[in-house]
Amino acid sequence: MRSLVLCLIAGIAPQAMSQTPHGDLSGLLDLRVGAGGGETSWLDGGFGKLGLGGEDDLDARIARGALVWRPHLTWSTDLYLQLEFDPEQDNPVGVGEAYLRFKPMPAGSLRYSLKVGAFYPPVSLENDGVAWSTSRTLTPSAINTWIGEEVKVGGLETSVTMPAGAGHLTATGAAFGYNDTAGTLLTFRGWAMHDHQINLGGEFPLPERTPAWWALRPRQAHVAEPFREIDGRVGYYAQLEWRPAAPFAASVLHYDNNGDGHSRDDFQTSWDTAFTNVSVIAQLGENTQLLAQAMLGETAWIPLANGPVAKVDDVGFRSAYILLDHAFGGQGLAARLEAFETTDENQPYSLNSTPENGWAVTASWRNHLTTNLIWMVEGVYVESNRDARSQVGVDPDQNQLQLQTALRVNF
Amino acid sequence: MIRRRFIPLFAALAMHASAWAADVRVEVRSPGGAPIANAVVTISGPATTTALPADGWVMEQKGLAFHPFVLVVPPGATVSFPNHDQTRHHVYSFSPAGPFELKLYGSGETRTVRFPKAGTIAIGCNIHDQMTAFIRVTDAPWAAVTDASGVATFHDVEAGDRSINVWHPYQKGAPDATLGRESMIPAAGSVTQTFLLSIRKPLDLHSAY
Ligand SMILES: [Cu+2]
Repeated sequence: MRSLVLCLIAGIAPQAMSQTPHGDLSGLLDLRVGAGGGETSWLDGGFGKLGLGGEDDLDARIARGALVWRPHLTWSTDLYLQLEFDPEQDNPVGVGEAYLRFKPMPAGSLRYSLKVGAFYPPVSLENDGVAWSTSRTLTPSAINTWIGEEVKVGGLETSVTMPAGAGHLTATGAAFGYNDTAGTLLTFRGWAMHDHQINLGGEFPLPERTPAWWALRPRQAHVAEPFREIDGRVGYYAQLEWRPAAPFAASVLHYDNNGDGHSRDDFQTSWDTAFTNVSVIAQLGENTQLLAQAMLGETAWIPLANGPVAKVDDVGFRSAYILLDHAFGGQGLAARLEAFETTDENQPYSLNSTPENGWAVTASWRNHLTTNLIWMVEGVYVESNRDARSQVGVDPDQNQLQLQTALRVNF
Repeated sequence: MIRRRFIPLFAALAMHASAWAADVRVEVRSPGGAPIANAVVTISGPATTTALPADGWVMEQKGLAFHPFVLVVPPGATVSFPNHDQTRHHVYSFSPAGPFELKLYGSGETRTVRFPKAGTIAIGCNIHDQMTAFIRVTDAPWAAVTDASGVATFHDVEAGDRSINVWHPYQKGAPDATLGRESMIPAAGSVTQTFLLSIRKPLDLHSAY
């Protein structure tokens, strides 16, 4: 099988095969020790916002391994295949992103590119490291955590970059499927902050509830399966990014999965989910960077027979963060402040008690021990209120502190 | 006795006559006084030979970036583009002064390009959009790029009326705008000139892709 694949690639691209093969491989290994206080983590069936939490949740583990294979098939076409290892997930090994990218030589002052496959929309400013890893902190913001767990799409994305004044403007558009269930975690659990990313075909748990509670939701599995096509409808996102002749970039993206809100398959529902994200990145000095994002969206599902009036869950969600990063002599400090909220837009009919609000502060220090080895230390403090906690006998007001240290190998 | 003393003196005079020259130190700063690196400083004038060699120029690719960011060479110069990264690069320029394309090549490999005429060559990589660099091809006899402290130093610049020009890739009016000034280079000693330059640096995005 392997030799067949190699022959196939050799047939397409003799020039690619004449290159050193290791040039197409990169990846990371993240060894981590961490401790989290407060309520049980959502990964263990609680409403805890962080990756760690609950009684004596102290652990040392391989937090993540990722391998990216990026062979060039022609001068202007490459394949991106990201293999993932995350021991916290039910299927620890999986495929992260997988796509073909066509990027012809620029035509005059215009640059084009086309992607086909499974990938994340260009929302996150934080996940700019190898294999969609965060480079400034260990834990991404609530916004980008959600992108990582529920907003991976399968489809086609095209972008064009053109000069605008003394700067550049990039327009990106995509048509996609396989993201019908996006919004499930936001509804059942709410926002979270962790670095577990969904793999193709993977799943994440929903908070544990009583059998009586689940009996009212016979068509919802106790897990979310984010990379899933259910209703056969095509979603889209469109982004405009502006990079002026100044150390600054701003972008606006609108996403709509165009879910019908009622189709179901295998106890997963097609949610009707849409959001707008605004991103700003600015270089404040030679070594100081400011990142900010704000997201506003809504997700809903309706019972089969009834019209949109009788939405069973209609959840508004919004969050924003501001992150300051300063690098000095092989080290770096990052501080992030964020707030998040979900609302119930359909009060009389709601099955879930979805309202939530909270805020978090994250401080991170990194030290580049060698070119490929980074030592990071991070603390996250989060305070949140969620009514649904009281339904499982937990105080709706919770605060959590999580400390982690990681040794990251990038290659 | 007289003869022996006379000859060294004459020789010293003759040497000095053939090199009526001074050291020139050019400082490039922002209006706020911050040093500006990567500015190309050229000194024009009727020099018999250019101070820049035609060979041995290198624009390397390392850490998904070009080094140096700005290179100044004479017309006809040959520049090599060694790839020191693990990944492949696809280096190109569409600049009218010297368009070229070095199709995908891998770690440890190199390619060379000859730049026959004066002008500005903006360089990119088709795999990594964030990679940019500039080659300024100049027929000025003296040329140098300012260092991190915004300074370019020239030794033995021939005495006389010279024009000193400063160019930066992110200068207003780029790619071809320069900031120039006439300067009298003395027959000996050294002279310092300071230029104030406004640059508009775009966002420098480091991406692992
Ligand atoms: Cu490159």
